[in-house]
Amino acid sequence: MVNKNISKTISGLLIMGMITGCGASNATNELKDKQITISTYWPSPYLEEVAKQFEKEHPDVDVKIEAFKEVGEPIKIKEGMEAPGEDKNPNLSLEDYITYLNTAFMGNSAPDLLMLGWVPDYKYAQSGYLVDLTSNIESTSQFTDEQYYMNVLKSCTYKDSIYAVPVAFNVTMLGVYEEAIEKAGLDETTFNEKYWTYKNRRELLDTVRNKEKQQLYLEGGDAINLFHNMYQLESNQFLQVEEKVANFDDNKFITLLKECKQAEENGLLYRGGIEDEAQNSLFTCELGGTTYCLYQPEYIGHVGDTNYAKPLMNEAGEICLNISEKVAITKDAKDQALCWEFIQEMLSEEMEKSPEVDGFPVNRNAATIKNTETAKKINKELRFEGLKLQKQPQEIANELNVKIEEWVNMPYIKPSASDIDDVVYEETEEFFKGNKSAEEVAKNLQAKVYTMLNE
Amino acid sequence: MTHKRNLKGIVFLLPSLLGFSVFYLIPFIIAFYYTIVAQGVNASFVGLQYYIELLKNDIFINAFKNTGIFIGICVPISMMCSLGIAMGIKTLHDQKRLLQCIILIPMIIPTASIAFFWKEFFSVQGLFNKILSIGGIEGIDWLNSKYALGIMVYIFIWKNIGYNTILFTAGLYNIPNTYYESASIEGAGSIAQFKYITWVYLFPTTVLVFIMSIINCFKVFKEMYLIAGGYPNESIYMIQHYMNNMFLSLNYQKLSTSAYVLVSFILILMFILRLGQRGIKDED
Repeated sequence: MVNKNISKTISGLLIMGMITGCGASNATNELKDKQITISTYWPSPYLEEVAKQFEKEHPDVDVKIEAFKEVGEPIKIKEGMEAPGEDKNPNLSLEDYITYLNTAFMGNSAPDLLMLGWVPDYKYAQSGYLVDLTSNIESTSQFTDEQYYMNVLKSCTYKDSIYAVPVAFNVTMLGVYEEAIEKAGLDETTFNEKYWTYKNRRELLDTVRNKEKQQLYLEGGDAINLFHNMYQLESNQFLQVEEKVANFDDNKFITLLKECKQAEENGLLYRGGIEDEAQNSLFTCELGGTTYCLYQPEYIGHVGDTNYAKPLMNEAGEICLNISEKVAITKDAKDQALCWEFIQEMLSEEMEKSPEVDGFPVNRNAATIKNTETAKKINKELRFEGLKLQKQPQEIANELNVKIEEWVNMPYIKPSASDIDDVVYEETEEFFKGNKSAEEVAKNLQAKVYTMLNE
Repeated sequence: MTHKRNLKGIVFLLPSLLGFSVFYLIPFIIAFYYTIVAQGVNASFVGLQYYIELLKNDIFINAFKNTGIFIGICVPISMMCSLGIAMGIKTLHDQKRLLQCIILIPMIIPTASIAFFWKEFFSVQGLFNKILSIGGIEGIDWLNSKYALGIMVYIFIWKNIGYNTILFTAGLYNIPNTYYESASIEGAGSIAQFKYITWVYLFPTTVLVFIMSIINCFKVFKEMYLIAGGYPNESIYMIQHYMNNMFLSLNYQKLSTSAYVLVSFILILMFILRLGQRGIKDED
């Protein structure tokens, strides 16, 4: 009898608990009717700012940011300079993230918005898992040439459909060390006229070496580094993803490999960490660091007439326009119109001028404001070290705005597929290590990439 | 009474059947949907379009061909070697169990360790090339050469010979010795004994080993993937590579279609095998 009463009591409590639990969750859901989920590989303070603002303007919407990785607090290096925080999930890799996303797409439970930039986005575009945003952009009145860099905004395309919208961009720049210029006896006009292709850089280096009879270097790094930079510039010759064409067994690719190796063997490249050698280098190439020239005290100059930095360019006259962050709406988005509103918030002037945006914002006004603030910030940092910019920060910012206008209207290299790039780098490393010949590497790459494109 | 016994059997089988249905059968049936609708935002009915495209795709055809060649080489060699070893072990008077244990060692080594070892062994800077250099032979990247298939065949046989040997050993021990004694008395030599006694009574075991070998051929993808990656040399690019890459590319249509094509092929093979088995039973 007692046992029966106890079991009845327990059953009753369990049932009550279930009902209460259901009631509680229902009560929570009633506060926010709608939800947007955004997936990103790394946490993004910029996204958090946008989410906060969007929720303020849309009280009935809950914005949930799902960052795959977790990082600790940023590490302060000095006043105004911080390093990223510690990676709290070192065991989770990009491959794990891609598997997670693929499984979500397969189960029709993908997030509404996806921050691209780390994943092979052309594959998602190819598979039709990203919504075509062409009509959204065309029908939104704020997206005009006056307010946005429309060339950049419409750059994420696959077979004429826009699958993502960039938040920010930068241009691969080639910097020149001032001391090296002086030693080489060069003047500013030399730089004013030319954009630096690999060919005219080599010509200049050979001329100066012969004239000055001193050890000058082309740039820093090793043959692999040089190859990565050159491949980025010339990849369109070897790979056309949309047309499913690969030309790695072409003589041009084999020549490129051999040239890079020869550059190292002939002492044209200097190894990092050796101060004297760095100062004897004509050029330094940094991928993706557009405003780095403003950060480097060695330059003291700035982007503008003195031209200590110019975009890297290939023989076809194309520059490397890099999209640092881009966002897409997935096919599983429950409310595509709401997602598009969120994207508009992301690209608004208010949000894009945030210091958390990495690179030049696609919003023109935001870019102008950011350039001024960055120049002022650099000027302040240089003053701490007893240096200063040659012109006023505002003047520098104005010149930079003019330069950006020039760059976004230049032809640019369409980004290649990141997964194919990884295969190229992995395979070519065998050549640079001396394990395989250039012809063997080219043949293997051609077979692999052809398979990847035509499966 | 029979009905009650059947019911008992079904009840005991139910958990396993349920698991099989939930994790294999139902998803496989649902996958058929992906083979007949277009991918992407607007999924429209496309009929057999994906099957036709797949059968015209030279990458898939190459993968299918490579899988067929791999099975065609590995299964007979593996079966012959393991039968030979089993018969050899049977004739031994001592150290039988020790030999059986030694042969099974490759099976218990973790896949990742096997992959790591053989990848390093056959790499450009690996031990194999160093051994060859002693003899003045220039080493190559074996896993990226035309010999890659031979290496994978060798790894498969090395790994699976133990399992097949145990199966054959069990089958051999099930054949009564009196048959061999009678045959010897009648004047039958070893070849005749093998042909008319061993082969005939070992046939059910042979069928089992054949099926298990084919299954193990598909399982070797694990080692292949770890050794040579998702895009290996074209001679060892198998159907599983194709399917794995389709999953990673989110092309579930091609993935499901290739799964159905593969299952159809296996069903045809099993049907032929069954006919063959029946034929031999009828002759008996």
